[in-house]
Amino acid sequence: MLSDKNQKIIDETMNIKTIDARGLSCPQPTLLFQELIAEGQFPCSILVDSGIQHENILRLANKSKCRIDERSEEDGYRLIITRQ
Amino acid sequence: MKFFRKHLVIFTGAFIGLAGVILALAGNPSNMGFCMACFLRDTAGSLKLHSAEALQYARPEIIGLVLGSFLLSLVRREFKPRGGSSPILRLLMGAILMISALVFLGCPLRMVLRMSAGDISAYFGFIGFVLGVIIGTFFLRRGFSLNRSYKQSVANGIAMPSMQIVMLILLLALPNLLAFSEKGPGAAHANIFLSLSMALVVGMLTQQSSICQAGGIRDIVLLRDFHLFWGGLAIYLIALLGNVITHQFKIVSFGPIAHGDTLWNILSMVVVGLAAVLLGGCPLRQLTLSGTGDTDAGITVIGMLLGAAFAHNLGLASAPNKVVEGVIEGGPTTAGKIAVIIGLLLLIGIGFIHIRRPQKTK
Repeated sequence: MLSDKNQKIIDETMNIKTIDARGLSCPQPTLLFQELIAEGQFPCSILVDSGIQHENILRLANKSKCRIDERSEEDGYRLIITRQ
Repeated sequence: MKFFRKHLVIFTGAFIGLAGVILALAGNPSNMGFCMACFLRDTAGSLKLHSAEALQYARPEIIGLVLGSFLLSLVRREFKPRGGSSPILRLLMGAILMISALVFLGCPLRMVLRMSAGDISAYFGFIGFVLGVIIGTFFLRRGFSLNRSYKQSVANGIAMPSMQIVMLILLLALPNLLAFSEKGPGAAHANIFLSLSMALVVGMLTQQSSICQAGGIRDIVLLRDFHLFWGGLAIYLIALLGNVITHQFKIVSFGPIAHGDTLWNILSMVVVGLAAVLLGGCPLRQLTLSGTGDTDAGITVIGMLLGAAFAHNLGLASAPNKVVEGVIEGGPTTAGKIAVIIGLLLLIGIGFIHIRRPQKTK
């Protein structure tokens, strides 16, 4: 598993916008995800806590016809979003 | 099993509606089978944080709800001690929410149970609640945030569940240390073990489904997402059916332990709705989260407990309407009305201080 610092370097090199939605109250992570996909810069990624925030975003992604690849992180998930 | 998981929020709502009806029938006050505001108020009374003699009983429903959520989150390895997201503001907002809920005489859950029993005043409260949630979404669209929470030690995470275990020990083994009402709503309660067991199940279901009254309306307005709303609707419909079958349904302008002051039913619930959105969940959600290690929710619950104490010590809580010799007595107090307005202004102030951008996102 990559450290946050190394992951950040990779994201910046590959120009992948990443938003950290961990630790935020409902419904902020979902709203941030909505903003992210509205910007239209794919691929992008969002870090989210496991549990309800993760489920909410997957449900919204399904409705928005985005493709999500998820990776388990130490304290949640990294969801990599691409247009379907 | 997959069907159950997918529609868990509906099953949760249905069970809560059922629990509300059963517990009211089994001895809890009328239309108060399950009320977070009233039960925290009664718990505050049992701890002698206030001295309203009719409102003193350590409600096992509160204990069961937190412990049910705690136990299931442990079993499913979803217990995550975290906190640090504007704790003192959450304490204050919890108190504001509680004070306003006690002006209305119910939390959002009791509002729905009252609606399901035919209490027209609760429908006006619902209008206020929806308005409050809509005002909350104004801030959310502009990036309102009480800032991030961070991982905390296990000791922090188990503090709230531990406090509930202490309350349970007091209630069962050392009741002489607590106050118990001899009459009034505090004296009306179902069997301890019935309340506790139903609440444990509710706690487990709410932990998994994240049911939330404020979230139900909020997500429709913000995201056109009806997922949480179906849960709230399930509470209403099952409770309505239950009330009709058990003859607890009666269309009245104000129900038992309620008042008919329409303006203040609406305004107080505007504040409750707004507070719930800014806090990230209604009182039921805060109690559920506090069992999963969320210390911010835990502090909000303590704020609600303090708010309940202040509400009765300072005469902010409404008195239920009663018809005495043809005259309607009771209703919101002047101090309560002022507290609602101050609460609204404080929440709006907190809202504006914590938005990230003045223009809303699309």
